[in-house]
Amino acid sequence: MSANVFRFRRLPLLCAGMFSAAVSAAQESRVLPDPVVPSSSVQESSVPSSSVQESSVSDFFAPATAVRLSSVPERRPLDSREHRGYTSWKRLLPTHVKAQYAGGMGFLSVGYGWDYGRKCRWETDLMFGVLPKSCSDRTHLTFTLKQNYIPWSIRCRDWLSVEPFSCGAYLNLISGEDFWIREPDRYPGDRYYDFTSRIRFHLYAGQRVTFRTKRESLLRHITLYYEFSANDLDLVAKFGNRTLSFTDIVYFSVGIKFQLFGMSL
Amino acid sequence: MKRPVLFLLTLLAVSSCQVDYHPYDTRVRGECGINAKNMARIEAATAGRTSVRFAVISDTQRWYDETAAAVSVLNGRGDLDFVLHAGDMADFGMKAEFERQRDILNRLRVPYVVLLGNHDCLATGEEIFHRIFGDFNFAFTAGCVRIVCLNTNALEFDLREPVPDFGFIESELTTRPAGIPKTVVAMHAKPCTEQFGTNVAKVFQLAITQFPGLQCCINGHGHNFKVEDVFGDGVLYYECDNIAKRSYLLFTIDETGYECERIPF
Repeated sequence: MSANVFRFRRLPLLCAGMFSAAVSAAQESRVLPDPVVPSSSVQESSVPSSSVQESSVSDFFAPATAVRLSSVPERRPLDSREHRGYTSWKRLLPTHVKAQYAGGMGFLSVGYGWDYGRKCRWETDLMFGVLPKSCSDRTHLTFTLKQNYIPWSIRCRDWLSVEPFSCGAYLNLISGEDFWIREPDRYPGDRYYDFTSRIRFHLYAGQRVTFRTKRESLLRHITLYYEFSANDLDLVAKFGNRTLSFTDIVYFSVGIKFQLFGMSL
Repeated sequence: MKRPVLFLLTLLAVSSCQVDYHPYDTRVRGECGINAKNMARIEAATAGRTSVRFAVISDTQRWYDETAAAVSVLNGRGDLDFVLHAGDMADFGMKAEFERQRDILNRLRVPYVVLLGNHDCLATGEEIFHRIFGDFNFAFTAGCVRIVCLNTNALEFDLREPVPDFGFIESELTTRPAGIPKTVVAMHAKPCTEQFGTNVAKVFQLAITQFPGLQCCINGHGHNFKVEDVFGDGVLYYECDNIAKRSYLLFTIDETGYECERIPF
């Protein structure tokens, strides 16, 4: 156990490092002029040479633009997550597909999900995993329902964003006759063991980094993430035992997310 | 400058983390085959002795603090030859529970052996127990006494395997080393409990009383210290407290007979 404690000493350092790198990169990107936004002088000089219809449109919009641009150059917000072209029936399509290694949901899990809410902060995933025979008594399949919350996204570069904190919970169900939801009838009474071995509930916290691809491509962006998770039974054990540290019950997992529809950055 | 540092930190953190494919996977980390190794150590250390002394602890599931306290107390004694754990290391049959309990018990200065408890059989627990500790039925010689450890968790095996295994008892009767005058039988659940059942209870008693010089029986499962003559034939069953009661049993066996003492700590 003492070895496990030692293993996790670097974790706070890693989190802090990633966060500070993200913030400093974001600050650097503030200084750079944004190539997308036209300068006010160009905008104004183009107005007189255009046709009547165009000038009426520009009259309507120009003052507000001019005021805004003359004071502070326009910036895209640091957290620019939003849905584009993801309306009506298209909302049935999953916004992303994912693959995850470990995390109590099998050796490898793949799945899909939807992001929603303001700034696309919420994500719900359905994942299917496999626990191969080499890791267990026989091959087991797992099914996971996962809820994620990603409160912040910090745009560091045009091609890079960092999500410094993500958290969530998931329910994992495993196949196999050795597991049960309700204990088998052979046990006396209703609560001989009083727990379910088939379904585990996990809590997790982690971080993510997102790489943007070309705006027109089907693949909007790729996110790499890692998580530290703990399951319900271990958490129960933790609260009854002083000698059991959090580092004993926390496990590491990594994953990749491919954003297909919906969110643009 | 920042990027290589960040990358190195990430690499360090990742390479040193524990991953969990599933709480019930059977990828055991650390020492395995403990009972066989420790039985050899006990036999070597007590060979030719006419008196042995050992401690019994039981039902340590999810009581890591108390188990660790018991280990320090037992380590404080200088007069023990070995420690016998009467089963139920895990509460839910999860791999991590066995590993944590093993790591605590590995701090014992004297060798220890572990019996299979009913909680140890849950989900893939049987497989994990078999890997870490070994066979469910085993016997070893400690000086003048043969300790016969039997799997009596009949309810868990549900006719998949013979429990109790009369074949093992028979082979132990015929192949036990000559010149060992005494026998102690240890098990997790004693006869006539809901785990053992009543069907073969009397036959079991008939079988174990064939052992030469049967001193007494030791069991756990009930969580309360109790001395009971289950069949009214003079063979006493000593039930060990669960570890939450912070006590252990101390057995001393010599030419004159045996002595059992419940020692709170």
